[in-house]
Amino acid sequence: MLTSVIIILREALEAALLISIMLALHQNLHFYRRWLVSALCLGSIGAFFYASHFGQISEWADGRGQEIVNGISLFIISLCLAGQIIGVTDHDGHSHLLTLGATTIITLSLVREGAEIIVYYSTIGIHPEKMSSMIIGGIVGFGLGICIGILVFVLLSRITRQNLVITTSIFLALITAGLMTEVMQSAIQSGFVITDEPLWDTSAFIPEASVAGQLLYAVFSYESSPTAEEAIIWAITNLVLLSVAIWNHRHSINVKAS
Amino acid sequence: MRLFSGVLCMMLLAPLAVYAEEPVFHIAISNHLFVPDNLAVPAGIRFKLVIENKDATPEEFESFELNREKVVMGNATATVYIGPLKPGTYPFFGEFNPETAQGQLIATPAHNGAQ
Repeated sequence: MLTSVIIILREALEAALLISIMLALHQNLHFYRRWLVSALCLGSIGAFFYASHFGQISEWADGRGQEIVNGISLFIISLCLAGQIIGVTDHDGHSHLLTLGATTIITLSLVREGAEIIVYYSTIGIHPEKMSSMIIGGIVGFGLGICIGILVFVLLSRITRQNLVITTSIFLALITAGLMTEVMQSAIQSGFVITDEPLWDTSAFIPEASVAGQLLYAVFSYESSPTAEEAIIWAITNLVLLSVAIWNHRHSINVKAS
Repeated sequence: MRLFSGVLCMMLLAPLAVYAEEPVFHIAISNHLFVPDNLAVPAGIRFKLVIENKDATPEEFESFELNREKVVMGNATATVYIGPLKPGTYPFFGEFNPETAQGQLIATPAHNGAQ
């Protein structure tokens, strides 16, 4: 049962965190939040489609299909997250684009995470004796992920608009940098990018398998032994997006003062 | 322009040349166990690990130490590129059956050759 809890919690937590941050931001900007319903529907359909063709897709490009789909979807999610950070200053002028971006982010996240959950649960048909423990474990893992998502949403909802925008922008920048390192990791794993040995190893301080490591992975895609390519893409993404977030924050303070 | 074209061609062809020289290692998944569960691999070079899942159920090959994660469908084969690794031991497990599906790569400086 613990295996099911861990698998579902890991998948649910990433999606739940993104949903709660996007919802809190869009609620504060007084946008319609009906995009969430569209994203949940599209994401569920996409996850079932991806899971039902997982075998064939994996065979694409000499067995690199999974990495290509993962890399492209993570790259699109990263671009849309960057768009949220950049476009939030002029949010009234870009409301349609920001809403479309939020729908894309959640839909693609659900397709990725959902497909893996469906593939995992497809084993029930072959091992029916594990059904009860897998279902109970899944409900517990899913419930925990939802609870953490709700907690984050409630905490963010209590922040004032100006502070919320900078807070969510910083979180989204860190998440985007983490996702970009996962894009690079997909390219390395599939052999498209050739790397050197990892730059450092922090697994003795924060093992990735630990609770802290898993939480850091869910939020920031924590990697204990990154390669130079992963570290560089993480640093550049953070530098650019955090600079934009701070510039936007200062700009909004100046506009308010004048 | 000619120099640029030459550099571009070298950049495009260089990875292909590397693919041809990379050693290939094989492991299988059978009854939710990795076979072999200990595999000697060379440190300091990149290699291909081919994972053949002989079970009917899918499994996810995962290793925090190797930073690799890939679903291998039932009765299917998956490939991941690994390394270059520093000498040491790198545990991996099957995320869908972590109690039984466990193994490790042992990276040593000596050239072990492809299996």
